[in-house]
Amino acid sequence: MELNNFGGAATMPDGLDEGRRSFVKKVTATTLALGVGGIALQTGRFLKPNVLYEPARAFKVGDLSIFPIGSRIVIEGRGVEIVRERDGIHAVSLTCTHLGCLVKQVENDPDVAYACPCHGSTFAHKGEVLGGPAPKDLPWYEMYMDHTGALVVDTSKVNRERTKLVV
Amino acid sequence: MSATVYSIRDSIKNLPKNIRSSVLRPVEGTPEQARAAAVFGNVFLHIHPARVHENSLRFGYTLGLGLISFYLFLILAISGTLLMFYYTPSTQLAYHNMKDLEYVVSFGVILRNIHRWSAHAMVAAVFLHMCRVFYTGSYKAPREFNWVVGICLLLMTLFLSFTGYLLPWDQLAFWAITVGSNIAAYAPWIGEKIRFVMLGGNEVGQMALIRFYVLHVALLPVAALVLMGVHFWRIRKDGGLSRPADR
Repeated sequence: MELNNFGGAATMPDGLDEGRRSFVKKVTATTLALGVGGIALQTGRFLKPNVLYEPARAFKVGDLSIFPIGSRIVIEGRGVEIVRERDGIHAVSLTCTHLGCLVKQVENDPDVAYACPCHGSTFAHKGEVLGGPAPKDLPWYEMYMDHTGALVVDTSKVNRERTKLVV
Repeated sequence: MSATVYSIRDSIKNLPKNIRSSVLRPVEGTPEQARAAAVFGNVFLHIHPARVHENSLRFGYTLGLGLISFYLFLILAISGTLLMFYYTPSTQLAYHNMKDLEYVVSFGVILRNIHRWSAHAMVAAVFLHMCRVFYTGSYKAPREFNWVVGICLLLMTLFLSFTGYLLPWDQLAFWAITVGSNIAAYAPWIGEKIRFVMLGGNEVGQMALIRFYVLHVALLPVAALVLMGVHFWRIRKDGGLSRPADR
């Protein structure tokens, strides 16, 4: 066998080392895929925060006495309206179901109660879509009274049956 | 030259000439060869071919829209870097920093407006450049892959525009990003997750501001620069600028 300057074989007999070569190739490719894939997964998971410094989804809105019968009171900064009627109280979301803008109350209109300033969706008094691009009705959130007698709205739970809290 | 022995006096006298020739590396030859060498011997010019077809230079064919987009990117990179000296990506400070740039910092309002208008102009120029490429049929083989690179550059331009929109932290910014992130949430299956990771939470807040800032000043410009490098290199490799046939 002829040797080159580095002491290795200059020419390899055909096919002698193909098995070893393909094994090394497979090991290298697998290691690389595992390494790169692992880093990609870790980076993706890293970007998903575990702790949020956001306002809590469940919050107190105050005592029953500040919501007289027949009132519709907006809780500022929370995107929720508390509606007290003769037969109960409920919380309507003011976040437009289209693209998340805050809807505004419409005064002096028998049908339309809320209108979205962004793309013109309109909603009736119970939150039903009347027009515009909004795909869904404004949801009602779960409401309950805690042990201190304060009303609590939980925006992480949608009240699908649209039941009113009887007080 | 190294064999020549200079007196100190000659060294000083020849200094300007030596410095110039060390930078420019003049090539001996015919004037045409010297001119070609000046182009391919210069790192900033060497992306140009030493010779171009006469028709490639017809301004009415390309309208220079690709170069205009690139120059707008350079203006944005420089003005944006300067703006970074006065901007803090914090919900407490961002809006006041922006107002300070407008009312307190010397030439701040000019810089901010250069950045803002160049950003709008770049979106327009990239769009018009795409129209030109489309209407001249320059997207066809062998340039079809460069069209794909161009689409990626269009996306980079739009993402840069979108992420920059949040940074002034005013009402316009807040609601635009609320709407934009909710559009992303409409993607099937993973839409809500995309929105959560994009904003770093459920609503547009401090986490969203810092994420958009990092994307705007680091990740997206670097990605755009790499893609531009590929884009320009492919122009040469795909046979130069497309041009009208000889008449």
